[in-house]
Amino acid sequence: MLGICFGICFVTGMLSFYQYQPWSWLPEPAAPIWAYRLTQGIHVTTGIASIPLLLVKLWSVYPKLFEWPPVRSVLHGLERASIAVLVAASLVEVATGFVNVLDWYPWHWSFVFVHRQLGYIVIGALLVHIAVKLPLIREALSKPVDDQTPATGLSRRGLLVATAAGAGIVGLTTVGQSLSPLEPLAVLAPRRPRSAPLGVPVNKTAAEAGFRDWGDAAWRLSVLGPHPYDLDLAQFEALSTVEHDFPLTCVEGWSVSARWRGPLLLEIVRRAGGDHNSRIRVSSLERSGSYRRSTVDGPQVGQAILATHLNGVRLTPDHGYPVRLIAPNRAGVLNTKWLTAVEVL
Amino acid sequence: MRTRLALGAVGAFAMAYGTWRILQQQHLSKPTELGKWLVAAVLVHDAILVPVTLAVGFALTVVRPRARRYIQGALVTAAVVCVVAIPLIYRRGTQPSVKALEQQNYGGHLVVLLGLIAAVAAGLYVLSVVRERGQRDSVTKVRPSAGQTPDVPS
Repeated sequence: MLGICFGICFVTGMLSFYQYQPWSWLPEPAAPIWAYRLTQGIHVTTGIASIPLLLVKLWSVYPKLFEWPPVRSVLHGLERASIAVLVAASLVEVATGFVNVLDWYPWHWSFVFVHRQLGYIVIGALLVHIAVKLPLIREALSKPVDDQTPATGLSRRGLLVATAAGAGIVGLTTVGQSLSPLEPLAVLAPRRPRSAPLGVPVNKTAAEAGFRDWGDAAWRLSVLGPHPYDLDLAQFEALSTVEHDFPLTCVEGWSVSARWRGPLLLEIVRRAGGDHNSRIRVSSLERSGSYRRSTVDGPQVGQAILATHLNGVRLTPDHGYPVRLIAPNRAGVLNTKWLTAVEVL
Repeated sequence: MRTRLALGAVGAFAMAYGTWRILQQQHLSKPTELGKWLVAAVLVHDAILVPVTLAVGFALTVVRPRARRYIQGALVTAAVVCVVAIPLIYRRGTQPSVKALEQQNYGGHLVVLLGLIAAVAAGLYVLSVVRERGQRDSVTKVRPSAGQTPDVPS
């Protein structure tokens, strides 16, 4: 069970990393628009549910820690070393993953980088562990489960039921942050998306990005390409707009569908001499931050909107006023806010 | 055997790759600090968390086996919920409300959930007692000589 959870987390996690660094010949698709919402919701919910499973698994094998003699042979020593790696890496991976969802970083390393590398180590150590134990797994799966209730306490089945009940409660009370119909039950969810202003939470506020005063008069959108041009706010707001429902999905697992309005990115790019085959880079007014630029290419170019309105209301500073990017099936932080430049690469 | 070797080789390669990347990109991975976390995770788990759990289990041996089983089950379920709820309680209110992050009354919610878990466990315990009584009565009617009944209904 835990192995399956780790496998799911590994695959959905790698899909998420791909959002951030896609190969140019295989751009992220634009449809289905909810694909990332689904995979990342599964990643975070499964990851949280695997915390109790991991603790119970480790509990059940605790006596093996005191095996004697500790090392019988070189091979046995290697096996125990691989288990030590598996245990340490798994504990740190799930604990830091959960804490990251809380926007809490009590360490100095790059979470994204280390979460990915520990992912390789955990899944690798798990495969080695399965390779070592395969005959035992085969034997155990071919025998009926021996479940005689002991006279003294909780049976094996009882322990599994209690763990499943706990994991079920945790799942049911957190999944509402990605699965909107269950949001009323989400009493342990770090986020309640619908309780945010305009019905969509933000990860970085305008204050955190260092903005105090906006100076609408000074704002320009520079469009760079074969035929560069500038738009001021009045000109930008006069462009013809479209309206679409796209989900905003955070890598931290929460997601919510919202209605976005603004001109199509493609229209702006065409005027500068680009087309739907162009790679586009958008830049934010932010002076620092890992996500002040992002690249749109492939099928997302034709779908992306430079949004001015969210759920029928003019964007607020926290949501990226005056203009932000929004595209379908795209990790939240890549929908750059506070846009100031669009570049045809 | 071939399957095992292939699995082992792929696994060893993945482990080596992750480790190599961590050692290669030290400015991102801070390997010394990460190493301390990895060792600390095992120590906290093996030397604190499990012994505390064992001590609780030992303390519970004063309770009669059937009731103990339901208490143990409820404690396992409750512990799982607490693992997730306690960091939330600790972090509550640290973020601006526009993020809609950690704004809930997690302490209150936890109390309600723990109450529900306790109520369900108590209900199941009572049910098992009632069911056993029913069984004992029917056994007594058929075989009045059978004085001893097992503590656990099968």
